[in-house]
Amino acid sequence: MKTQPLFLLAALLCSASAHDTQLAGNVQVTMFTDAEDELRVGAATNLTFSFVHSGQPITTCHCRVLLYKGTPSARVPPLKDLYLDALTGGQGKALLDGLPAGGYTLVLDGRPTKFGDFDAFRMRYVLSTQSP
Amino acid sequence: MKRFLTVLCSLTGLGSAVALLTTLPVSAPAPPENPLTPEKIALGKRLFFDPVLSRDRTVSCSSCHDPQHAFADPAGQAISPGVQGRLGRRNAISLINAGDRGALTWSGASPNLETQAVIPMTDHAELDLTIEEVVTRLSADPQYPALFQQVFRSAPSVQNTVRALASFERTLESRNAPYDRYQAGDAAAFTAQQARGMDLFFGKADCFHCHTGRDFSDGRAHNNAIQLFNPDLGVAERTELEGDVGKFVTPSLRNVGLTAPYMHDGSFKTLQEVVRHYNEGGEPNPNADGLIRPLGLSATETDDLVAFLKTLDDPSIAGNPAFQESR
Repeated sequence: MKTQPLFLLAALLCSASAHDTQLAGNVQVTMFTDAEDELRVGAATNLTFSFVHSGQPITTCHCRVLLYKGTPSARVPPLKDLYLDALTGGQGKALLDGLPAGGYTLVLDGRPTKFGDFDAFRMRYVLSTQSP
Repeated sequence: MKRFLTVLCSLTGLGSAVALLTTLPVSAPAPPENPLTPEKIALGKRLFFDPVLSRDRTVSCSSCHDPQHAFADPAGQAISPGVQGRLGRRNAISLINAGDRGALTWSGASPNLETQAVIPMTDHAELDLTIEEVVTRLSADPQYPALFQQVFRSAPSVQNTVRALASFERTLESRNAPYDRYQAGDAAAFTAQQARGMDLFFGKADCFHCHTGRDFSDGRAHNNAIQLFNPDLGVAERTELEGDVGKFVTPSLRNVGLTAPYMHDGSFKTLQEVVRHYNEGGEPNPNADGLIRPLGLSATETDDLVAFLKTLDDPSIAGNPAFQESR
């Protein structure tokens, strides 16, 4: 009985360290991948974003995922430009495929479908690739 | 009062200065090295409308800076063709009140009208002459050598050509729009919708942060997020700084209702499109200005804002004989 809270705390700490959680305005987003928070080289990587506003999951969002090689630059288009309009249970999913080895920056841009529902946000995640 | 000044100036040896004061039009301040004279303004006006300054003698400054559209691109043209129909990259900015600005061209490449004038003259997609060809062309003209002699007491040169052009452009002043009359106390100059639009401009819509001052420009460069990335580097062409990629100098909003299409590439056809862009928060460009975010304007508020923007128009520009080509 006494070990259960400790286990939960440990699980939460591990979870926090394993996933990238960011806060912007009144929105909190946690991003994780099915490849230990990296991107697979030459194979598909599933990304999941969990959106929370005021403790409640966000159900609709004009969300966009942009993937850049290295640091984002306004000189070049992103390698990937995906939309996450359909959220299920406060989560949106994206699939990244066919990436060569290297460093990447993922930009998550979100705006409410109805103005005022939550603050518009833009977050950056620095990711590297994992060898197959 | 004028007689008193004439007497005073005659006594002090400044009689010719009085003559200028009574004959010069309203204008932007001229630099000491290029003082305005009526003769220089007239020469600049002639050059402005004369296709002699283009390689194939088909286009002039006025081809892109059309008096009928507040000296911006002719109606509907995102980018006006230069010699041989060549297209450049950018929409022509209105020249109205340009003499009061410290950062000319979309990328702020020129600090004054004199240096700006050289850019289109030598641009391959615009007038496409070399500096040497400008001099040769004007020197061979049957009339310009005498006119330059009269104004500058010298033969045609590039330096004096741009001085004359800049002098004419400094006279392209206009601050007699309904907005000016409203600011001067004429409440009837605005409709209720336009007044609501002004409140939005200076409030909820936040337009005034960049479109500020008497000509509604902060004179600074911003990336206004109209594109996800910027093939046209804007200010970064000069500075080579990554953070300047896609930044363009805030244009004046004077006569904005007369100068469609909009933005540096003329990609927005109407003011409604412009307001919709800002209302939606723009593209997630890495260099997007931090002030650009969803605004939450309703359709009615969008219409109100557009109605206000049109109060910055001065329709008398198109009919002002001082601004038209002399026949």
